[in-house]
Amino acid sequence: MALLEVRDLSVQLQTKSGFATAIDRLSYTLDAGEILGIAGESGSGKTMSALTLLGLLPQHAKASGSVKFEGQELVGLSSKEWQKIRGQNISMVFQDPMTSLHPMLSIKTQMTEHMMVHLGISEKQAIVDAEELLADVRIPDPKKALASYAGQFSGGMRQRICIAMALACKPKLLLADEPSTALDVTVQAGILTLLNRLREEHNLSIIFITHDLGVLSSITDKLLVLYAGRETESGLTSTILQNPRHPYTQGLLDSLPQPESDEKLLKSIAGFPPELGKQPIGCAFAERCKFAEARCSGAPLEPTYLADNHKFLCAVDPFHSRSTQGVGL
Amino acid sequence: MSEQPILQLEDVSVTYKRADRSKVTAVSGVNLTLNKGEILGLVGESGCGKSTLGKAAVGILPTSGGQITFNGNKVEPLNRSMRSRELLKLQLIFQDPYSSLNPRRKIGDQLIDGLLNYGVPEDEARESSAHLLERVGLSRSSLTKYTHQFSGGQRQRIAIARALTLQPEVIIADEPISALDASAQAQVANLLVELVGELGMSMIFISHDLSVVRQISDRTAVMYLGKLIEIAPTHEIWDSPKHPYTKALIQAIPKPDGKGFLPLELPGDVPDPRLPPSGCRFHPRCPVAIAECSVREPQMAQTDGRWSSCLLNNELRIEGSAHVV
Repeated sequence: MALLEVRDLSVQLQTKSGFATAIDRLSYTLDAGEILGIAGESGSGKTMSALTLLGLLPQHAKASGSVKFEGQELVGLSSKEWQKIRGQNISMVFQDPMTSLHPMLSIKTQMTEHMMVHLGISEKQAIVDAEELLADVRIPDPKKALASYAGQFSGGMRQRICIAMALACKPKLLLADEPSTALDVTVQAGILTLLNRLREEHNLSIIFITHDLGVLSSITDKLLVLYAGRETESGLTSTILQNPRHPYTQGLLDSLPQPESDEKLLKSIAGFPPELGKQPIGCAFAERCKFAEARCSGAPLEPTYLADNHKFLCAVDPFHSRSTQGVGL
Repeated sequence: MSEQPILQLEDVSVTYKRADRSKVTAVSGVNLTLNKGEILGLVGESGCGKSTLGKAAVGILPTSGGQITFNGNKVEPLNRSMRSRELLKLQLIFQDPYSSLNPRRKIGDQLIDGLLNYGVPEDEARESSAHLLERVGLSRSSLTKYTHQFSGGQRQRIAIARALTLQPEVIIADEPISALDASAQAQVANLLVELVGELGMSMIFISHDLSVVRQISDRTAVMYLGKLIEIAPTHEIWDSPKHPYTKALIQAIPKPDGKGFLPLELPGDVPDPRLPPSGCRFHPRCPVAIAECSVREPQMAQTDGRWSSCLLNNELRIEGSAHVV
């Protein structure tokens, strides 16, 4: 059984003009020890899909479909039932370590409080455990760190502390929402190495959310590319990045700086994503897509399934010839 | 490209006084020349002094040593009344378009400020602002809107248009795309490159994103803890970085090749600039440092046609040692 099984998950947001779809029938699975990357721009629904897994959707949002964690259905849980899951079985690391730690509380207070509540341990035990956790994420001198405040640490160190806090209750699933985007590349490399080691040592499953395809390439096993709240392509990371079949995935790859090119301009995808609640019935990417034809709009797209769970939703399939190419050219 | 200097920084240092009266030298003895028509990338980790250097270069921060000249005129900090006319052609674009634009004033009113200050009649100022908005990809109706009606990428376009109102010759762009979304990043970077070419400007592009700098800049300068440590034509820096720090920066960039290699980690953090390490400032984190690196401070020097600040490359000339990582 997969650790996490998401089937036809939709999230509707109530707006002044009725309901707007933030996430549209999303499905994926995640096994223990696996790292799934969710790629997309802001507004694509990638953060919203993580908040659903924590029962932290805003008041005006409504989730439907099914999210099964170790067989237990999460959609429709009461807030009391969520408290047993959140922070304990599933926990999260946020983008900005500068704002996700409280500036006026010591690291000790912030780390031990939820350990005592969730695990029912004494403060003494919690301090011992917290020191171990800090050592595990390579914070030098954990004792001193516990007595310190967030402002005394660099961005990278703060993110390590956030990761230690997220791991305090030995979760099986860690949600990492742009955990390295605010950091320098050198520090980011350290955080990626750390997360990968935690996965190997603790068999931790991770959902890694970012728009940075380089980061996703280095750490994820499989990828889910979102656009305007919908899946556009999913499969093994190596397949998606080396032989993408969806024009949006290809566009994302093309818009990265090209090392071999002498061209000074970056290739950008023209236009903007559709506004929330204004996604068309057909392909949401069609109006920015250079391969778009009449059949792209009007009717919902049918997914195409290929080997190795590779799946994409494009009516035109302009990169069809790639299906005959081997993976890893 | 003609190597005609337009902005020159000679031995520039910038020192901040902290609340407790201690001093921090954020930029220390930097020599840098921007040539006419050139895009110069300035990279380094946060806290290395690249933004401070950018602000000093346009004259909004006082220097504590050295000299900055723009078109033969000395760049000095703003006085309270008005910037001297000679320096109007030197403009800065800030990182965060959410805080660099005024949320309570219409876009048009913010754009014409500079022109009105220097005696342009209002209708003329509005007309040229509308033109600029169109040039950066926005409609002229944006003049009567407020900032909250625009996305991050659109706001940065507005900030760029505002910097262009006084027809600058040099633009210093301080992390102009790092607060933006992936697709907006490419669009705004492209816009800047096009404008520099079209309007015959020069630009210093400050960024921690090396891969973008690689694509758009002619030369790249690398800073570490307040010092310039390497400068070269961009393709040379990329193909054969001479300084071990430059090398570490490049190796830390994750590649989107789907091959699953973790980028190489550079251990440790940027040291506290109040207490820079002795000798070479990079030596505590340097994978190839030798004992002498902790006592002797390297200077920028040219060896085999390449400028870097590393004892192993220059003063000691230990062949190839910087490349064994």
